Amino acid sequence: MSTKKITLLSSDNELFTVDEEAANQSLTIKHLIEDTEPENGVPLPQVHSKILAKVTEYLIKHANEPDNDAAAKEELKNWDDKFLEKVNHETLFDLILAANYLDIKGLLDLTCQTVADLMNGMSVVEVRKLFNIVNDFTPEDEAEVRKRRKRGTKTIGPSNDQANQSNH
Amino acid sequence: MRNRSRATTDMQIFPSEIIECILSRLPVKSLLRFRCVSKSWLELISDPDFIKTHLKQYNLINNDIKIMLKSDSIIYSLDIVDGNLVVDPHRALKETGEEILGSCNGLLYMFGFCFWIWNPSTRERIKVPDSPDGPEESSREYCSISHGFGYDPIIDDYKVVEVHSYDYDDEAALSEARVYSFALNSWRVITEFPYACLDRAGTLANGALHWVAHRCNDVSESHLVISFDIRSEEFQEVQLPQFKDADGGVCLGVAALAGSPSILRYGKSCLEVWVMKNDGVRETWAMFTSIGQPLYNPPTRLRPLCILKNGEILLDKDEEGLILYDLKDGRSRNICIRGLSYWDETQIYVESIVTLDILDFEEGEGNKSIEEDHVNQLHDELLQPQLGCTEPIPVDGPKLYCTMIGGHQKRRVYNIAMEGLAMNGATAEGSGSNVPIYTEEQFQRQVERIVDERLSHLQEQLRVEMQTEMQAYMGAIEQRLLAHEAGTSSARQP
Repeated sequence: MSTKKITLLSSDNELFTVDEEAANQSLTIKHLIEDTEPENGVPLPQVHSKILAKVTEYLIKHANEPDNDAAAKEELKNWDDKFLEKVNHETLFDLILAANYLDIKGLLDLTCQTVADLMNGMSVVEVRKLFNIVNDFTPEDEAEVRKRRKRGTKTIGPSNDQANQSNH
Repeated sequence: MRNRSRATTDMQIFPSEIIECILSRLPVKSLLRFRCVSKSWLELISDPDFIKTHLKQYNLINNDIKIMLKSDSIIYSLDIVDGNLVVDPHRALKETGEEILGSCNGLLYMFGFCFWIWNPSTRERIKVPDSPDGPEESSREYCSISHGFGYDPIIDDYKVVEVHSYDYDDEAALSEARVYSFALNSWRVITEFPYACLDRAGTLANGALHWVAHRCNDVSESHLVISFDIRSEEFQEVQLPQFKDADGGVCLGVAALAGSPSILRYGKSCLEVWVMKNDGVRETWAMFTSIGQPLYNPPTRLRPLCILKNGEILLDKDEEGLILYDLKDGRSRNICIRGLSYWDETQIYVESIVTLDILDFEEGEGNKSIEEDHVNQLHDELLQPQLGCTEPIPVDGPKLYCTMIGGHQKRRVYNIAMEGLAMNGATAEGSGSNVPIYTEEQFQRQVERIVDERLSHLQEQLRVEMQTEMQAYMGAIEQRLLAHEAGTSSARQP
């Protein structure tokens, strides 16, 4: 097995060294190596060292994914849970952007799932705050959307009174 | 991942593909709540492509199976949480229906008053147009109808299947299969169909519906299993496994376990459950489990519903209710569902926000209206959506029956029928068969056409009347004139 080392260069010029096998999980890095064969490390100007440290930690751990070993899979899953356990929202969002930019499917899945789990118990207002979204509905529009959720929009069949309501 | 050009208000943190990636992992309940986060989120969550992504993505990770129970024609939804069944208090759905005939991608195929497709999560529903001869067909008395509902992912089409099996005593009678495609909005009839189905509802697994059946001309009526491929619309006999238990008096059953077709063999002493394994090259049967006494005591029906994450299998047993059976140690426990002691139907389903529309209408030619005021007045009378084919609306002449059968508020779909007037080649009387279906726009055009026809008819009548009147008037004037002329000439003469 090849143990060729790859050096990654963060936006604030910090160097990270990983095995080629680990680095290749990022399709962006893989293509950069193939295309340019950089000598002084692969430049990743969109990723800060703080985030790249987390990313490389993930890449190293996931370099040899177990295929059929249930126990090893379980161990890796537990590691994933711990990996994001104490991460704050800002870092989590930066990790998503990094995973998207570096094209690391496993990490993108993991981080997106974490955000989804986080959102699951949230109210609409909390979600807007989390994503920094401005509510562009008028109060009437919003009420209409909410109402639609309660009643449904399709209006036929046995329950005629329901249908009548949403027609007007 | 696709690129979407969306408003940029919520793109300050993430590009839309990441938002999509996150939202596709949310359960339906949260997703519906978050429709009112912003306009672009509403747009994304209503996008058919997103809905499909969500269905795939969410269920891939979560395997969130729910169970529908029908008790006294009220439908309840049950969650399976850590191997226990929990009735979600919000999900005691106040929906009634006589029968649940199928389930696919979060949509249920229901019967009760009419056939309809229902999404219990969004509460949306749409009527399935009646099959060619309609549900009032008298043949119902002598034929039994089996049903099925499935999805073709290649062209994104949902299909409803009916197999009309005729009287068993008449050996020569072949069955008839009817397939409705939502994309085409039409029924296809397959005549001389050689099987009579025994299951009322088909089991959907692996892109095909399965029924226990027998050949129409087979006197022994030995059971076999037929499958209907949703995509190709082809029926075939399923090659059965080599059963272990060779005792007589067996019946067969079909189930869908872990997405694969399963054959159930109800023997004298045990129930064999076989699951189809697909190794990519050919399909083979593997004995999954065999359930013996005391759990299996014929003739009580025992039906496997699904396999849970912990390896337990959920069974529906007549008169005893739901039972969890541990495949490893063979132990079983009865499940008590608080507040529910009796139910007559169970159906496995997953949650989704899939919505169904009747699509692909042919656009008709519209006519211009003649007299605006009169037309508008008639429109007001006609365009009040009438539900469930109510009293006919008087249109100054032919009576119009109008039934709203689906669509959104902006895009309603009507079924209209007319009395004494042929429309689109279909003589439709009352709510009878062959009734064309219209979108709101087409419906308005039809109304305009009817109004136009009535108006031009009135005009013509008026024209004729006026002409007659005018002629009479002119005649009278002429006569007077003649009389006058005669008078003056006679006065001049002497």
